[in-house]
Amino acid sequence: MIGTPTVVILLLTQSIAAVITVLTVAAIAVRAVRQRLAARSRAAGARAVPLILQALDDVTGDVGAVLDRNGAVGRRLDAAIIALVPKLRGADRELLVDILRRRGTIDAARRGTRSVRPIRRLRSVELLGALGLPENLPDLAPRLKDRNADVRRAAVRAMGRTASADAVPALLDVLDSDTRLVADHSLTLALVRVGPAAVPALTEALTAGGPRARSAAASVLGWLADSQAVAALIAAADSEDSQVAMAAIEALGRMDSAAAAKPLQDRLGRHEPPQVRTAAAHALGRLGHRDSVDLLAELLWEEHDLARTAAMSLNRLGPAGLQVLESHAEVVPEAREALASAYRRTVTAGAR
Amino acid sequence: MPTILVVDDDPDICSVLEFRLTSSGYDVLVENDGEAALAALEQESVDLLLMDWMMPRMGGLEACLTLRADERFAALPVFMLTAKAQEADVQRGLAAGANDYIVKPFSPREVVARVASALARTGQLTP
Repeated sequence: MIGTPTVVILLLTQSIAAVITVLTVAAIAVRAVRQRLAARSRAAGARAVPLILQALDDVTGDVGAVLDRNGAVGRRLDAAIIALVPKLRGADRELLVDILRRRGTIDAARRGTRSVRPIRRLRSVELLGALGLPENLPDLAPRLKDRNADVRRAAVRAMGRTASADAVPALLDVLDSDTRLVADHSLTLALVRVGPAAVPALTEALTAGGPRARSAAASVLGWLADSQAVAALIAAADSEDSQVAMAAIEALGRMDSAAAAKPLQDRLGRHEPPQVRTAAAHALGRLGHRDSVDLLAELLWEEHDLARTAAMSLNRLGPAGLQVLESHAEVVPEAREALASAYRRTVTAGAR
Repeated sequence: MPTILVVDDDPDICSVLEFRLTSSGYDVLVENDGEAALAALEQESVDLLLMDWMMPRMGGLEACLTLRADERFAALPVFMLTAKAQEADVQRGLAAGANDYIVKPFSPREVVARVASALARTGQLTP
């Protein structure tokens, strides 16, 4: 005779075993379906690339017909072209972009940037970013202030990839917005990516807009190291806003220009704030002008941060700078540290 | 017909270069890393090597240095095809023994023109 509790336990055990079996079978089935779909997708992708290449040499110009005859790979085709475009330049790239244009992919992405679904907006912005076409800037710029953070970041990257001067004002405008919509470094990287085309707009931005945008403009001009910006950076180094002044000083240190040395040397004076003197000392080291040696040597007697920066800069000024460091090494610990660093560098270079 | 060995770990780039070079009349071999490229050079007669810098197992720079240390391959034209675009990178690539340095993103048609020019200089038959 089996008691009621035993029956309940048996039923429960059997039910749990049945549920586990069903879940296991379902998991195996889902995995198999996923693997099959992935294999089909890979196969379609593998068929798509030769078709794309064939279309590149389609002398009749009827690219659409070549691709339409192969509708089965159509969905993979766009993805394959979008993956290929950023790797190429020149006529082949233009042809690939033209294929996307004819297929309506670009227009669909432009519409997609205004979708109510964040994921669609994100994918559309990423697609337009991969193409890097300045003509898409009017659709990308509003997405810099999208309510979704991923879309905003993608829009920043996409605008940088256009390498168009027209992207600069919108990117700087985001820097000056009240709320921090995108991290500053993402915006400055995008501005650097715009490249030489950004120089006139960035130079203009040094005297307009808020301090964050002006600082970023100065930093980016330094990274681009375009000598056309030297005069504007010299003026910005005198800015009342210390962040703007420091960014301009640092940028001048990156310029390969003799004109940058004198204004930097002027900023080493005792009447200047310590952080400005430190920034100027660092920039002079980066600039590498030998006539800065005596001025930097005087800074070895100043407080630690300034003396350390001056010593490291002297380290970069060749034999004359090293001679100063050696003559101060016994009494100035910062000079000893810089000499040790120079020695380590020589040993490492020798080992290579 | 000159044989070009294309070495890159990106299958898209290999496909495009293979297509462009083949359409221009070259025989094309493809490998995906420096080690495989060195092995292929032992087996096949190659007239020009077109190689990426950053690859798994063995990068293009290391492979180039290895080739230049082997007198059998000392004169083999080697083109670096890489995303490393800094001036110092170009200097390093050329110092390692590369004959030409092409920065990605690249124009496949320009690569073909450079290949033809390099082979013409070395007296190779162009297709």
